[in-house]
Amino acid sequence: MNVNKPRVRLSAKRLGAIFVLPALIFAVSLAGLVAALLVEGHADIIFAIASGFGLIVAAAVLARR
Amino acid sequence: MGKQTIKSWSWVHKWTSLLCTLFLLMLCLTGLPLIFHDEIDGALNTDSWTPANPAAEHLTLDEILDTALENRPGEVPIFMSFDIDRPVVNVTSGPSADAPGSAMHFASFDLTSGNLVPPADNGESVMEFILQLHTDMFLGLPGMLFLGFMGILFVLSVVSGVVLYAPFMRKLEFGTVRRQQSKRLKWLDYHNLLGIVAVAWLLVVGLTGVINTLEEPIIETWKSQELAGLVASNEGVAASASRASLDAAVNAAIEEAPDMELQFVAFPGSGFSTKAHYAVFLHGRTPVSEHVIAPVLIHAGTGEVAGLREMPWYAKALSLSRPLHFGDYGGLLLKLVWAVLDLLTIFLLVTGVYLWLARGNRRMRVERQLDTGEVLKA
Repeated sequence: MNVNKPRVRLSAKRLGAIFVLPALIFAVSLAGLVAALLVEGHADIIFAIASGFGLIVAAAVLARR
Repeated sequence: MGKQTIKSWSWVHKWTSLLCTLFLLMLCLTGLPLIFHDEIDGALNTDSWTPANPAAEHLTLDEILDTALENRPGEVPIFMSFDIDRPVVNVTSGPSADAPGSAMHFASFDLTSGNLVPPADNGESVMEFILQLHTDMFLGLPGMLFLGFMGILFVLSVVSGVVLYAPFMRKLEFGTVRRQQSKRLKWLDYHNLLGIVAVAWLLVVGLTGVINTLEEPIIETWKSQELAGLVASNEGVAASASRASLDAAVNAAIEEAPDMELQFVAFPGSGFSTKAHYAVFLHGRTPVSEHVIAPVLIHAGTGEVAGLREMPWYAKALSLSRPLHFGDYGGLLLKLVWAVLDLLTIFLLVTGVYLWLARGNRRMRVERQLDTGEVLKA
């Protein structure tokens, strides 16, 4: 195989498709981490779950496959 | 993204990761027990202490101070601090207010009776050992700064990993793990999946870790610039032989900042005050502002307020980065999430080293990657 083929660009659409879930996980996790610091009380549980949102998604994806 | 760009980012990802792997592994292993520091302390110190007179009115700070000094004749008070969850006042004393840490004496007193509170320090030496290994590897400031540099490499490896995620996933669905192909591909897919879902946490813990390693320079800068201004403008004030009421001084300080509450007191001559003033340190009442402290100088002879100085932004950043790094601010569930993410980081480090060791012949690897869509075609 020729490794010196002309380059293939990732279209913005494909790039968006690749990063849509990681970006969502990043946003939810970061919001959870920061919100847990800003708010106290029972909401801590929700924010802790949000902080671990990536773990939940990874577990769900791996279990499904 | 062209071949050269991918190659450059791969180089950054490989070397930043490899250089910091061993130290990150140590930080993850030592960080794990530190997440559960409170729970471990509680389990090792099961003799629960209760105040002598729970319903009684609390003694004044002056009475506690007198009791502390009666127990340590010839010594002077240096610091006074307060337990959050029990009526206990801690008094640090020494032969002089500027005594080194090794010459200081620390004692805790029951605010309802003035009795000494027995120290709950089972296992403390082990936790202190782990904390110091985690913080500076017993090397002081050079060790802290070195770990800070490792933290910067770690953050770079995470960022470069995110950049490389796009070409690696070009032909794959999110979460694909190619179990039926080579062992290396399988672990590469696990590495990519678990790395990308943990990016937010990895960056937060990495960046706050770097900020924490700058603790000493930040505190020194605060003391030499912001606090020094407050102290210098009061340095010439003559000390007084008589001692103004400590309770009155604390109340006067709180009047200066009514939305704050008492954190600790530095006595005249100590590192955080002048020779003539109590430095009363207050902190905010809200979850965010409780990490932000402000000192108020009160003349120890006359009880007059000399001034309040708020923390500068860089000291506030340090205060907020501590809880965000250790994950001890949101209850047990958040600590468990922290622990799982810590273990996940160990997995990423180990699989990263495995992927590097199992990289094989370069040309064969490039061809295989191109065949499987592992990276973007050149």
